[in-house]
This record gives sequence, C-alpha cells and structure tokens, in this order.
Amino acid sequence: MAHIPDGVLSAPVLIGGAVLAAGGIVWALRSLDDAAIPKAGIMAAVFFAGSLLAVPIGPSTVHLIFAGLMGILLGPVTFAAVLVALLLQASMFGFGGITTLGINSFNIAAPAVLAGLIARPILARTVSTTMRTIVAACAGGGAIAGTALLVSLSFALSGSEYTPIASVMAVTYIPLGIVEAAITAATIGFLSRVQPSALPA
Amino acid sequence: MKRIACAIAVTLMLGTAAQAHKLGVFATAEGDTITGYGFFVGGGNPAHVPWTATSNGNEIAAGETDDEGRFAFDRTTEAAIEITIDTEEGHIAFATVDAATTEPDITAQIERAIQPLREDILRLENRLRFMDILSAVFLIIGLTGMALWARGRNK
Repeated sequence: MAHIPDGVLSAPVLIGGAVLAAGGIVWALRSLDDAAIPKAGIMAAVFFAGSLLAVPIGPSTVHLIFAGLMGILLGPVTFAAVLVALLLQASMFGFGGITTLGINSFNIAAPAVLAGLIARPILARTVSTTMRTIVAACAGGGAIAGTALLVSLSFALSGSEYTPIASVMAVTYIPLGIVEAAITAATIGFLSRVQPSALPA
Repeated sequence: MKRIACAIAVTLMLGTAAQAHKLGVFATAEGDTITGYGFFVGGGNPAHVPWTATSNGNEIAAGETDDEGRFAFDRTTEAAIEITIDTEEGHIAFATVDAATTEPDITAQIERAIQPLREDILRLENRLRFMDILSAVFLIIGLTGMALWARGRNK
C-alpha cells in the first residue's frame, strides 16, 4: 500500500519521488503561517497514529490515511505533516523505508493537496453544511483514489515484478476510499456546525 | 482543541490493541522441508497470496499461502533459498533460509527446540510499542513548538 518498503523500486523512481517531495516541502514551508503550525502538528500526529491501525481486508490489511482531511485543513502544508509522520514510522517501526520516504510522501501528500486545492475554494464559498459534507466526501475518496494510482504507477515505472494487480488493489482500496470519504465528510460536517472558523476561508 | 487531544489519546489506546500493517515472512528448514508463514506486524496473516522461492536467482518453488498465510515446499537445492511473499497490492516481504549444512543430529534437535523462541523474538521485534507511538506524538508536538518559537523570534 502506501508504505512502499526499501529495495523494490528503481533508482530513477526513488530519486524522482524525492525531488517531487522536496518541491512539495518547499511549497509547504513557504505557505506555513503561525495559524497553520499547530494545525499541521495535530494532523501529523493524527496521521501518524491513525495509519498505524490496520484492519484486514482481502489478502492484505488497510489503514486510514486522513489524506482528504489533511488536504482540506492544511493545503500544501500537508507535505510537511506527511513527511514528518512517515519519517517517524520508518525509523521507529520499519513501516515504509528511508529510501522510499520521498516517493511515499509524494504518493500520499500530492493527491491530498490536489483534493484540498479543489475543495478549499468551494468550502469557503458555501455556508451549507450539507454542501460542505458532500465536497469533503469527494475530497476524501478522491485523495485515496489518487494515492492508489500513484502507488501503482511507482511500481509500474520501476518495471517491478511486484506491480500491484488492479483487481487486488480495487478490493483493498475501494473500501478504504469509502471509509475515508465518510470520515472526511463527518469531520468537516462537524467542524462546519460547531467551529466553522477552523475551515479554510 | 481538547476534543482533538481526546481523539488522539483514544486512537493511541486503540493502537496498542489493533493490528498494524507491515508484512513479514518467517521461514525455516526442517530436514528436507522448508516451512514458514507470512504475517502482518501486530496480527493478521496474508491468506491466499502468491509466494515464490528462489535460489541463486532461479525459481525453485511457488504457490499460494493457505488460510493462515502458511507455505511449505521440499528442499531441492543445498544452496540458500530466498522466499518472497507478494500480496499483489504493494506489500512485499522476503526471508532467507541458509544453505543446508551436514549437521550432526544434536544441532538439528537444538534448532528444532529453539524454533518457537525465534518466532517469539521476531514477533517481539516487530511489535508496536505504546511508548514508541507516544514518543513520536510528543516529538511532533515538540517540532510544532520549535517551529512556533522560531517564527516568534523572527518578529
């Protein structure tokens, strides 16, 4: 899944991923303001702890990523939050790997940021909780679909014999996408009701 | 803010009980048979997924894991054997069985006797530790504080 281990991707993909992730980090640091720092810290902690919990589905286990939620609440700063959490997971638990840190960060953060870029202006324009919930659900599900695509692409571009098989990916990622959509929608809907100022303006 | 802190705390508590996500392989030689299993760190097994065994780059055996993620095959070479489990959705893990040696019986018996210990050690090494999770969360909080402090100084 999103934690690709060391030793299965080719060097160009690893380097490309690292360069893209570095670009994302620069973007994140540029757009980091005082209000974003605590939010980024909280989301990094949620992502770190949340993605350690995995439930068995099909031949594998899946875990939440909170990608859509991060993209909406943090925007480009998601790159920094994801990198910090993945670095800690790799160094403490051996989830993912150090050489794959760049590509894994990019695979998770890029679709999240893209979903956020699309969703944030819509969320800011409307005050309807229903509308916000629908947009959040789309962002949550869309970000997971993007990650699934990028993970497959990473293997395929490496010419790896371990390239995921679409049907197996579908079995594990579609339920995950639905759950992520529900969680993103529930969280954004909740914030919209009780703390609309926490949403992007 | 308090609600979010509570949510993180609950997630952490669950974290110690729930299952984690890294795939691992355990493999061992018993006489002329190689047996082993795949496991997800913290619990769960990759059932009905393909495994392959290679020696010096040549495939010597392949198959699908059973309901409990186990596999077994006959040793057809004296050389070291690498076993790979691929869940076909991005999880891959490897294990190596050392080259066969003509050991005296006593060594083979000891090997068999310490087998459960080896498995326990592997599981212990791969356990999610509550203190590790907690320290990582506080590291993130510390980073947040450092970033705020650095920005405050620049003003």
